[in-house]
Amino acid sequence: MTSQNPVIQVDDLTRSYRDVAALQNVSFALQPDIICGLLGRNGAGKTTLMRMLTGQDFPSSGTARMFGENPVENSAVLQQICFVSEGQRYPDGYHARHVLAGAPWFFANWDAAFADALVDKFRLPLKRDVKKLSRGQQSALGVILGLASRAPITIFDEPYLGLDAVARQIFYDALLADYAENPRTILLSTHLIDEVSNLLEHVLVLDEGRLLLDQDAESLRGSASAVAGRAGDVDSFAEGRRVLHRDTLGGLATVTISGRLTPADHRAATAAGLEIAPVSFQQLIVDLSTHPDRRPAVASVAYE
Amino acid sequence: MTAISTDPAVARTGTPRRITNVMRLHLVNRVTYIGIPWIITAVALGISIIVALLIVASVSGPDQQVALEGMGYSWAVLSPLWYLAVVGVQAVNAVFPFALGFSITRREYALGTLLTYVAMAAFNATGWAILTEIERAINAAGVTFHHFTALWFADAGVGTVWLSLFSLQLLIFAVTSAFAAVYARWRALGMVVLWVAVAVVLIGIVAFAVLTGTAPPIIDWLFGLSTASLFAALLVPAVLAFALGWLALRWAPLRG
Repeated sequence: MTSQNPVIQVDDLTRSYRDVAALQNVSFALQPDIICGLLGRNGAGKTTLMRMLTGQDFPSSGTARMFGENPVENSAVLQQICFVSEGQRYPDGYHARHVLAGAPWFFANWDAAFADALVDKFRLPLKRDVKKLSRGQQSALGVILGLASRAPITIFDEPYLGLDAVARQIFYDALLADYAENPRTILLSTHLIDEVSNLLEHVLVLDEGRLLLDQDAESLRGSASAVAGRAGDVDSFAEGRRVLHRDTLGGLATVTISGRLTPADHRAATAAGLEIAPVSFQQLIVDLSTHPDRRPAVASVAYE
Repeated sequence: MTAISTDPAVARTGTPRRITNVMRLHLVNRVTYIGIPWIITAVALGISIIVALLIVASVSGPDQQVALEGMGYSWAVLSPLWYLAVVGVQAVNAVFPFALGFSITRREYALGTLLTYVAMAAFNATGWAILTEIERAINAAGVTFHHFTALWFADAGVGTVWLSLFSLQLLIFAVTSAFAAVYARWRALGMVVLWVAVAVVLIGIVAFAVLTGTAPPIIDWLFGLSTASLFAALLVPAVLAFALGWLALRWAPLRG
């Protein structure tokens, strides 16, 4: 056993509320010091999963382990975690400066100078009631907390709701630059898949409480291709392959095919007058989550 | 086994330190705990002074003294206490989710909050008790005025005044926090069950006293208690309420 012990280990995790199963038998493990994207549609269970990882909510069955331990009421473990929740509530009358003043009492690695620099970059008003800040400004406060905490596991839940394009770019740049200097495990949930696709080293996709995909980003890139051309040619090319998605427009069709195409495939496609293009992260994940016979076939895209 | 996964990557802070830090977190914005109760105290005192001046201006002769003594029935001295109910609810509604966001455990939060309540109740009680003594001295000097020296505070010793204010504050903090915690855990259904349970317990005690014929001695005993013992006894329901709050909060999931 070496440093390859997972920092986050989830086994058969299930969380059901009265009549809804928010998470069903989710299992995965994350190695330390990677940036992992947690992707999925609204209501897929992303926030529920994050709350369970941070001891804010409790599994109905199964286990979540952080640094090999149950995080619930585990001060030693929780001190290593910073969870920036999308719906974080703040007490009445608290200003951003109060929040930032309290952070170093609980996050041992807190970098006040870094936090100040980020406050300037995001132009965050410090002396205004947090509840009166705009959605974007509240998100900026969360992003500053998460980055400056330098917690060994930092979890961002939809960190940039309401952030404008400039602020999002500041976030990506700050995250990458700081991550390079201070490697840590970052779990990030988002809808803006294409925007973050270059940041991610690992991808988890949840859909309706089930884990749809657990794969490193590198192997996911190019693990599916879009083939476009005349409908008949496209369909004969796609025959026998796993088709994730099919679009038609007049006599033309585009299909998303999972699995890597061989050089022979490329030659055959060119001969048939078909065009092959890489599929964007976002398109791939949309296709996966809307595919009719989708199954929790984890990592099936690359290895099928 | 060189498991990185169980090595502390961050210097760990001990529990007592974390609990003190929860107190600091409560007090990072001092308006809530200190500012508003003392603003209410100041405003209530101001109103009492205006009332006294109105009495002096409009009533003359021996009636004036009687009217001024009548201010001894004013509840104004207790006015800042009702605001503490808001503090108790806020502590669970807003500070609790905020604290969990700072990776604080529920246990650290509950102990830190309890200690904050005790510290604030002691601080406020000391301030109000000092003002009561000052007012007593003013009355002794011949100026009839009752704001702090009202109700039972008029005749009680300074220790009893302090204890009364201290345990009343703690009771209000604990009960309102307990209700908010029960709501956080079980929502509206929990509220209904809790209110019914409170009613059943109260009726049960009365029924027990009446049916067993122990009501007269119990009433005699209650009336025989000194003011100080009565208010010291309020700490018992305060502790029970706090325990209930903790039980509810221990497994309360955080909701969005």
